[in-house]
Amino acid sequence: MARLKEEITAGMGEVLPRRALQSVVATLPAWADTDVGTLDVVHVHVLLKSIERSVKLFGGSTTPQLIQKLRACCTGGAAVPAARKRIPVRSDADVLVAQSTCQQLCSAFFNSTDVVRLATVVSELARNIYMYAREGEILLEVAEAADGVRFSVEARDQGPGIANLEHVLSGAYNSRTGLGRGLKGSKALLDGMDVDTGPGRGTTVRGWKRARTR
Amino acid sequence: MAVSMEPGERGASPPNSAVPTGEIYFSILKIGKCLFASVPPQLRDAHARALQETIARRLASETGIRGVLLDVSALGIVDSYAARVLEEVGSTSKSLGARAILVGLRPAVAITLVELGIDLTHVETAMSLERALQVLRMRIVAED
Repeated sequence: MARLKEEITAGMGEVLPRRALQSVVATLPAWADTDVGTLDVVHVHVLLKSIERSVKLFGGSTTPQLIQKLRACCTGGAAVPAARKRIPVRSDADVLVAQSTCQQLCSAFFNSTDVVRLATVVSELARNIYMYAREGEILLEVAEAADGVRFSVEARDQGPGIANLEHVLSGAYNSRTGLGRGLKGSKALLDGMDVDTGPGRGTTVRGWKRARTR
Repeated sequence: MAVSMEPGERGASPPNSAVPTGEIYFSILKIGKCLFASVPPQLRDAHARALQETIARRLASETGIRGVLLDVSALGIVDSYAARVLEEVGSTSKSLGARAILVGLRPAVAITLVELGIDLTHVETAMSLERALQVLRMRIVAED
């Protein structure tokens, strides 16, 4: 399998003099020292931004075509793997872990307000798990879709389930933790959200949001 | 001011959670007839309880406190739980005769709270410390 750094050096061609080019490659993040096709969508994005910045610092300039070419170097022509994180939720500390993991995952593609929105949603869902089901997990994903980059979250638990979902989502419900507001509000902060639940069969909440092109 | 957790409370938290054992520290400073408290960036359940209790205890033990200023600028994420904690600090203060004012709420957090449908009815907010002191009709005067 081809090494990523070599592919990138070759892909950059004559953008910079040879010595400068070597320096650009040398200053890439440590995780870039890997095989072609292994980096996920977030890492590819960060890597390309970093190359763009450091080429500029070394006095060169990049074109959109070159960035496209380098993107192909990163992926080996295949689709970019999605970035995924799984956070088990068992305590209130895990809710905070879920928040910060979401912030880290989304900050490359979403503007800062959207990052706060998404982390708040993840926090609501994680806290619902902790409060009502005691145990469950949060799955986060950033993936390339047909319409751009898309964030999705899935919160799963085997808890008691929600008996009166329609009522909860209507906003008339007010619980001791603010679940009513939380679940309804989460829907408002996302592009779409599905809830699969019922008494005794646990709850799965899926939500997604598209990144606005920057 | 350091607050040590009472044994009963520590037992109530889940056994596997890594609650920092021993002390939870909050900075709560008194200025004039005001208490100025900084809310830590990550609000764990134990922190939230300790914050509420510390403020309540200070209000009960010191006379003449008119206002509680809560610096929330460190909070990057406020979900409905954290919002409820802040509101409860507000209503606790109110019942002890002081007004609670949130200072330094981040714009992104404020936007998210509005979209989430949370209106923070029980606490007041101020854009700056100066505005908060104005609301309390307090002035801090320089000597010269």
